[in-house]
Amino acid sequence: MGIFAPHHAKICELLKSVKRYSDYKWCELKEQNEKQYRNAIEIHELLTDIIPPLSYEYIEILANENLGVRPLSINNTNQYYYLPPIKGDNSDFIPFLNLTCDLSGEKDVFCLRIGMLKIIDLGTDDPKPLGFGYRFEIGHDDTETHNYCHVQFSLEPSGIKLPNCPTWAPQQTPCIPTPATNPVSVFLTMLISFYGKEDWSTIISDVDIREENMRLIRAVF
Amino acid sequence: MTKTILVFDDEEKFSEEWITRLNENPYVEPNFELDKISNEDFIEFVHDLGERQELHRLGEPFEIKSILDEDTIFFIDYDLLNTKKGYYFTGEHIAYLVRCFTDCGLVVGLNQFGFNTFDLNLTGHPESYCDLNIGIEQLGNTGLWSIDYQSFRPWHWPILSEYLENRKKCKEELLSNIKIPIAEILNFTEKIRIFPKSSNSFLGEEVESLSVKTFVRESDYVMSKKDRIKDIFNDRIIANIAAARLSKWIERLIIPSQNILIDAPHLISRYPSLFQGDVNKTEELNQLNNVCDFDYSLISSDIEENEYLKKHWVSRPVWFWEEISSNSEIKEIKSPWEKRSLNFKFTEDSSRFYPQKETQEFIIDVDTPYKRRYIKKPKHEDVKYRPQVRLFESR
Repeated sequence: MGIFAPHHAKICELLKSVKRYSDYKWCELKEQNEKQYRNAIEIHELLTDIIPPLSYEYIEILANENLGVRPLSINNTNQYYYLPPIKGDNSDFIPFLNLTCDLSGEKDVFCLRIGMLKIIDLGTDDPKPLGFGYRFEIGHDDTETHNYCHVQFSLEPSGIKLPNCPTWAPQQTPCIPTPATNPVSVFLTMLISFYGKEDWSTIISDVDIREENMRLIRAVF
Repeated sequence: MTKTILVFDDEEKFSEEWITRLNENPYVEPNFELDKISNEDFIEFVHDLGERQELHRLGEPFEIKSILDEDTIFFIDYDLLNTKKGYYFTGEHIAYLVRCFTDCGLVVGLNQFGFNTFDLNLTGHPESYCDLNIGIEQLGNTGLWSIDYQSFRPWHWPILSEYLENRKKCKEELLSNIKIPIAEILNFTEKIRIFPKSSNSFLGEEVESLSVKTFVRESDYVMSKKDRIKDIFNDRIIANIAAARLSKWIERLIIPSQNILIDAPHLISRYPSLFQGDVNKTEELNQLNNVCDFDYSLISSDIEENEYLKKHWVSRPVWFWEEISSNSEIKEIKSPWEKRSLNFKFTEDSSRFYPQKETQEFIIDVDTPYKRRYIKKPKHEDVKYRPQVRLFESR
């Protein structure tokens, strides 16, 4: 097994926790129906019509940590793991997560892709979906250039090209270093990137984060 | 067997009025014998039910037959205060006793949740032992008996005559499979473990292996605590109540989510390419609401294998959503970003498609990602839409 095998169980916990929170938040948003989030709600409704969400129960079975360290992938192209709503100016981007994780072999694989989807021209006959993505990864082999935890742009965060994604955008460069050092902190880095200091910890409030990762987080803030 | 409708209200004049309303219904009168139960006979019946409950708790046998047999639809009012001085039961209480200790076909409760209410939660009341809860103002609605109706017809309503016939089939199936896991009987094996917990909690623990017998003995939604005895003497009793409760579970907790089983109007709303008619014509789309005599040629044969084949367990044709939404041959899945929505919305209060501008959105209280539904605009007069907070404010 790879050196990050002990992180598998925590990744499972994080996946479940974030999914629970996401389902709750989208539900709450729709019930409260605040004016500032109406676009987000509308877009989320349209998107879940086009690409239905994975259910919590599916994630729970997938991320059953009792099954031990094994390949763990969330890469369905016809159902998405939608992340919680984004606050503020970019709230009408709907994020979803795609994960390739295998900490069971000699070489650790951990690639967390986040797609950002938006629909413009709402209310017209021809609403237009737009998409863009990022991938958060652990460092590659020491012999490779990107042997550090990093984030890069991604045109295919779900495994297929996102709609109206700029195909000319570079996917290798820049390869931005993150303060992460292991898969769990890569996941936390992603949460902080999207939800900021106010919300990232709320999203995973029921997950116990080890001190080494908390130190990294404190270093960020 | 002759089919019967028996009605009871503590005020006899209302029982007679109900009989009149039902008699005027062209879909009821030719097919059912109608009668009311007098207060005196009702009291005797309730005593009998009470005795059966006592014998049941002692583990002793009792006669299941009664004035309410499996070909009977029993309409009962909720407020029964005037039945006899000193008797303080409600229609809901009686529904429980009838469900547990008789062979009664269907129990329809009146007025427990209003006289003419539309439930915007879409959950209904799964805890109620009535197979259906309506208001007195809805009693004369032909939509309870056919798809020939005026305008207001909640989509979740079954067609009562078909529901009655199907209930018998459900009971027989359970009787022959009393120790078999429910998931297996209902063709939900493998799938049931990913049903929402909120739905599965109705069944109880370890839903994958839960048998009919264990369900009746242990679920919090079947028998009351004191009635949950270890050995129920008659499998028929188990089959009767299990059929009713499982049917309720499917109709009020599974189907409304449209995320496990999906019915035709919601399916075509999501994947218009599966419709074999013209999606731009409401008169063609509205053929999808024909739950009595559904025309399967309206739906693409590409999803024929995904149809839910236990038709006696459901009040309308449904398909397995998970399989359909994974079928990459479907146009909307193959090219999701080219999907075009219908110009029409299916209304839950009218069971029909209307142009979007003639509909109003509301958010349901069901555990599902598909929370947004529609009702007709303007709303039906005299119908109380509750709870109002579920109505989505327009932009």
